This record gives sequence, structure tokens and C-alpha cells, in this order.
Amino acid sequence: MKYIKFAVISFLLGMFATSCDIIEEPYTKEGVFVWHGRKILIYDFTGHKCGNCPRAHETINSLINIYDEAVIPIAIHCTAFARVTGSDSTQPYYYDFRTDIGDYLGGRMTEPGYYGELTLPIGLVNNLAKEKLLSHTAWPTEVAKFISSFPEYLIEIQPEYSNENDIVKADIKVKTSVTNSRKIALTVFIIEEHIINWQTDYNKTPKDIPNYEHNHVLRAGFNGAWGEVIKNNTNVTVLGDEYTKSYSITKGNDWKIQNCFIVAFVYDVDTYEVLQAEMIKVQ
Amino acid sequence: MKKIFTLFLNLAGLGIFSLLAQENTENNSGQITGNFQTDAQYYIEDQSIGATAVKEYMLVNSWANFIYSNQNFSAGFRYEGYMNTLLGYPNSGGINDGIGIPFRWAMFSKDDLEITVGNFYEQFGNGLVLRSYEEKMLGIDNALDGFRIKYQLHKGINLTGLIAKQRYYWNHGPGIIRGFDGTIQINEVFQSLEESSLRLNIGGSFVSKFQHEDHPLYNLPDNVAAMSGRIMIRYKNFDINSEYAYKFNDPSLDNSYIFKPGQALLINTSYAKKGLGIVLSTKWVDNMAFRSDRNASLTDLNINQLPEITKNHIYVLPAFYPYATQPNGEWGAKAEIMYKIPKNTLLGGKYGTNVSLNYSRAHDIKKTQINDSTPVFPPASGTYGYNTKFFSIGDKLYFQDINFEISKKWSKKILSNFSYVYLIYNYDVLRGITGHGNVYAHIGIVDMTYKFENSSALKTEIQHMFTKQDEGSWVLGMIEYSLPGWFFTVFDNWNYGNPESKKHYYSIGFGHISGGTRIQLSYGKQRAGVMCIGGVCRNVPASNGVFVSISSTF
Repeated sequence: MKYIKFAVISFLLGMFATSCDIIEEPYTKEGVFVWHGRKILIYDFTGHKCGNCPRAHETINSLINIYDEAVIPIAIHCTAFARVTGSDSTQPYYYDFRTDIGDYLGGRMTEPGYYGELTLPIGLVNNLAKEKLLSHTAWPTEVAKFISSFPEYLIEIQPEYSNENDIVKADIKVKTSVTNSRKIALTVFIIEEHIINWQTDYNKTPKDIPNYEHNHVLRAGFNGAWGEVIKNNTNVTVLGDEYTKSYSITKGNDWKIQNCFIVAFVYDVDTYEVLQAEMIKVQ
Repeated sequence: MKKIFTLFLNLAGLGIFSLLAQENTENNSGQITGNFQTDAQYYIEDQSIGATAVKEYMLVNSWANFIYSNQNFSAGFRYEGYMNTLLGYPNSGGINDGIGIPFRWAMFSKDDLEITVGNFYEQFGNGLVLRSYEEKMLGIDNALDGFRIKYQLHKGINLTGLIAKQRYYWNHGPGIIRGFDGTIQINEVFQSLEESSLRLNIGGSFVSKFQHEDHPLYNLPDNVAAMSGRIMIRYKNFDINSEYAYKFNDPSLDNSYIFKPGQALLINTSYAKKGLGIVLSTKWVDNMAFRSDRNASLTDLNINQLPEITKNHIYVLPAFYPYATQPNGEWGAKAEIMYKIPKNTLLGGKYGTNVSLNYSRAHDIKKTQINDSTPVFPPASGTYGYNTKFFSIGDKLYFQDINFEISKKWSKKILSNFSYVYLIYNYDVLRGITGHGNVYAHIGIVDMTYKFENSSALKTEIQHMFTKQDEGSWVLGMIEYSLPGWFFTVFDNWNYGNPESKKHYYSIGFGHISGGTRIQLSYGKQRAGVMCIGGVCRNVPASNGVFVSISSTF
């Protein structure tokens, strides 16, 4: 009988002895990319007469191939590389990609903008500070720094377009997902995809490409280059706090509305870090 | 019949035990018991209430248990058929449809030893780390399938060990469950304390599950363990029953794959003497969902069950808004007083009057960020998740229930029950949706029964719920006439406060009870809602049709 007792107790303790695995950080497997919903904004300062700028466009395309919707680029045509040759549409480089915001930020002709004298291509990845200007070759590394972090805010865009008066409206809701005491601003742009026009490309022969596809082209801003402060750092915003804003602009004559997207992003006014971005098709 | 039973055992893969049964029948006939139930519904489309018809016209849930017992040996099986599964029961993609014998078992006991093979149900303590059970009303059956040994090491010391997989509809879940439980009844162990007024039991459980780690992103644990300790103290009229449970890192679909350990505490206290009963309970739960498949959801493959402490209302209208346990974090408390006003007093009358007051409340728990950039909600997958202090109580109210009930017998013929219930129901949290807000509902119930000389009785119920939220106010009237062996029921549930459509949900039915057999037939409409038992819920779709239920025991 004592052997039976021993066997039974051994079996029962055996059940007890099957323990568990305690996992220590890092919890994520090495080499894998985990996306938690934070979208990365890229300012691509460019120009249709900039022969090296297609290299930056290629960098953006490779980032989109990897990260898909997690990357939101904005092509800002500026500096003398964005100059036009005239209004004759039969001539190369007649089309004017420039905008007031692009002129202010990147400069027009030889007059520098907010970011000073720019050597294109150059850009900003998820931070709007002057000292954060980076060559496109550094963009992938910079994107990787942000891509697995958590969005502190979530943005919802409700677009509306009226054919009757060509008004584009954007109702924006910014929701807090991480408690913080940041001072934040909301900026809303409209961009257009698939614009076919001239582009200089030093890697091609001839270098002037008549049917280059220009993507993510900044068309206008709903609330200026720096947007609007929606929360001061004097108060703490907690999970679930929401900020709503509504904006509208008139569609440009040369925009194809079916190719237009509204881009909204929030950034920390003190550090210029872009905290979250969102993009949605106008219609 | 014995031969048929032996054949069934063979079919169930229990050939060795069927031989044993055969052998025993030669010496001692043993005993066969069992039960049978079938629930069938004929569905009629009714767009006014959102009820749909089904292609089969009628759906049927049926099952029958057969148990053979002979001295120290018993064995049995359950034959089940869902052709096809009644609407509202767990059946995603038709996974529950079919017929077969998913439950078969054999057990023998010798001296202090009891061994079970095959399917069995088990509960350790209050179920915080292991509760395998069946609840047909919810469509839940998380039976274990494996081996279990129970052993009485010493008088008052009982040990249980098990290793099993868990039933998943007609298959098994991917995990292996290993468990151990021990209880010590102090007053039994020490002879000198046998007569003591102070009764003390202590116990502990350890449960571990194994599931191969195959996640593409995260380093998940193959083995996850949970353990608990419990104590029961009884002194004269006082009773305290408490259990604390801890679960090691268990990233899962329930908690959005965070690595924080889980904890739970349950305390039930009571005082009871003739004519008076007082119950005080509280519980605190953090990240304690525990399943044998980390990717399972809804009611599938739960290893544990976190008991609810709110009142399970038996009347229809207060049961519209039942509390659903929140394993990712909840605090709850309950206080209940039951008092019988003595006979031959002003309020007690000739027969005495029973009054009860019940209050329960549930909140979220306080969760804080683990750093400045990681959100608490939605939970940050692949991180520790969040921080919380033990027994912290959050500001968000999940549920509140205040109810008062008076039961009075006026004469040998007239009985009554009056109830008032005030509910606050956090619809968004408890139904898992957004944008609905809280429901505030006042409910009054009058329940009168008149007994006739010929042993028949007439029972009437009037229930009214006033609320401005959800579907608005309701009124329900019910008449039930019963006589020995028979009952006839008619009721109408009128959603007169619905701003969109003032719908009637009526039903008429009758039933017959004879010996161990019960037959019920009804026709009527049922509103869409949820049904919860023990804090576990299932959605109930709107329906219109004929319902038949037959049950029998032998």
C-alpha cells in the first residue's frame, strides 16, 4: 500500500512541478517589426528640376513598400528647383507645383524659407525642428526609430467635398491615448497623388522626363504651415480626452479631387516631434 | 439494456471498462441512470423585432447522459446532437453543429484513492485558477479530457492531481492542462479540534497550461502557471471564505498580448441565524483571463471562472441588464441582508414576512502607464502593459444594483412577492461596444399567487421597468395557472417606451410534468439581449416561433 501512496503522491506532485516560463524583456522577437499604429510623417523637400530628387522619391517608395500606410510622405516643392519656365503648357517645366506653405517652409527661388537654404533633396522625419533636417539616405533609420512606438494620439478625419462650390471640408477629431502634459498643435494639409508632369532625373538619359509621376504633392494647408495649438502644456490630457476641429478650403482649379487626400498631424510645439499623423482620401 | 450499454461503452472507446462492466453484471447487476433533454425551436421570420428564419425551419439541441454504477466502479457517456445548433448558442461557422459522443468517462475508487479517465469536470477552490463545468443554457462545456487522481492522504487531507486537454466543441483545444489541489480540514486532521466551534479549512491550487509558442512577433511562454491559496473560517454563526490567486505572464488575445501577471482576490463573509442572514462580499480582479488556447475568445476554452458577486435576477425585466465579469480588471462588492419579520407581529402578520435588501457595485481598477509613451488603453501589445496597485479601484462604474424584496404569505391561499430594483448598467463596457452610455433603470415587480382548494394555483406577475436609455421602458404581464402535473402560461412583454417602435413580445405555452419527465410547448417572441449565468454571458438573438422542450431522467 505504501508503494501506491508513493506513486500517487509522486503523480500529484508531478502535476505541481510542471511550472511556467517567465519571460523577461525584450518581449518582441529579434529582428521583427511590430507596428502599434503610429504613423510616420515625412516632409520631402523637392523640386521638379532637382535631378537627385527622384532618389528621395525612391527612398519613400521603398519605405511605403515596407511600412505601407504607416508612412505618410508630403512632397513640398520649393527653392529654385521648383521654378517654372513659363505658362506655355507645351514647354517642359511649365507646371507650378509651388504653394504658399512650400515657399514659406522651403523657400522660393533664391530666397530661403523657414528651414534656411536647402540643398535638395532633403527632408524631415517625424520631427519638424530645423536641426532635424536629414538626407534621404538617413530616412529609413529615422523611420525605424519611431515605427514601433505607440501613438500618443489617434486622429480621425471626416472629409467632405461639395461639387457645387468646390469646397473641401475636414472634420478632425484628435483622441488622447497616452496621458501627457504636452502642448500640441494640429496641422491639416491636402495633398495629391498621380500628377503626371516633367521631372529632372540625373540617372536617366535624357535627364528630362516628361511623364514622371509626382506623388504626395502638397497642394494647400487648411490651417497654415504650423497649424493650430489645440492643447497647452498647462493641463494634463488623459486617456480618452478629445479635441475636435473643422476646417475648409476651396479646391484649386488644377487639382483632381479623386486623387486628393487630407493629411492631419499633431506635433509637440516644444519639441516639434510629430506625435501622430493620419491620411484619408477626400472622396 | 445492459448489452446496449456495453455496446455504447465499446463505441465510446472504453472497451476495457465495458468488459469490466460485463464482468460485474454477472455478479452484481449494478445500476444505470441517466437523463435526456431536447430543446427545439421552429423559427419564423419577424422583421418587426429583427427575428430571422433559418433554412432548416427548425433547430434542435439534444443530449442524453448514461451512467453505469457498480460498487466502486462507474462509467458513462453523453450523446449530444445539435442539428443544427439553436440560434444564439456559441456556433461560429457551424463549429458546434453535429452529433456524437464528446463526453465519456470511467471512474473507480479503492480505499482512499479515486481515479477518473476520460472526461470529467473539476473545480479547485472558488474556481479562480480552475473550473471546468457545463452550462447548457449558455452553451458552455469546457470539460477536461485526460486523467484525474484524488487521494485522501490522511483524514482531512485531500489531494487532487490532473492532466488533461480541454473540450473544444467536437475537438480538443491545443493546450495541455496540469493541475494540483490540496485541502486540509484542520478540525478533521486534529482529533482534539473535532468538536471545536472554530472550523478551519485551508487549501492551495497550482495549474499550469502548455501551449506551443508560435507567435510571429512576441516571445511567448510555452508554459503558463496560476496558483491560489484559500482559507475558510467558520465560528458559530460567522463564516469567512477567501481566496487569492496569482497568474504568471500570460500574453493572450484577452489581454492584447501584454506580459503583466494577473491577480485576483475574493472574500465572502456571512452571518446567519434564525430569521437573519447577512452576506458581505468583495472581489478584485486584474488580468485573470486564463484559457488553454491563448488565441481563444468569447466563452471558449476557459480554464478558470471568476465568480460574480452581483445578484442573478430571476424575474425577466431586471435580467435584461445582467452583469458580465470583466477578467481584464474589475472591483466589486456586495452586501445583502435577509430578515424574517416574526410571526404575530404588526408587520409580520400571521405567517411572518421575509424582507431582503441587496446592494452590489462594480468598478474598473486603476491602471497607470508603465512609461511616458506607452498607452494603457488600448493595451500596448508586446509590453508589460500597465501598472496597477493591488485592490485599487478606478473611477469608472461598470454596474450597480440596489434591490429590495418583500415576500409575504397573507393566508394559506394567498402569497405575494414585491420587488424594487434600481440598476445602473455600463452598456459600453459590459456589451463590448462604444457610444451607448449607461442605462439607468427602475424596476417594480408585483408577484401574486392564489392557491385553490383542488391544489391548483393561479400566479400573476406585473413587472414595470422605467428607463430613458437603450430601448426605453417596458411593462410585462404574466398569468400562470398550474394544477398537479400541468401548467399553462401566457405573458406579454411590451416595449411601450421605445421611441422607434412600441413592440410586443408575447408568449403562450403549457407544460406537463410526470415523474421525471417534463414536456413544454410554447409559442412566442423573444427580444434580443444577453443571458448571463455566473457572470458568463451569451448573446440571445430576437426570435419568433414555436419552442418545444422535453426532458426526462431515469
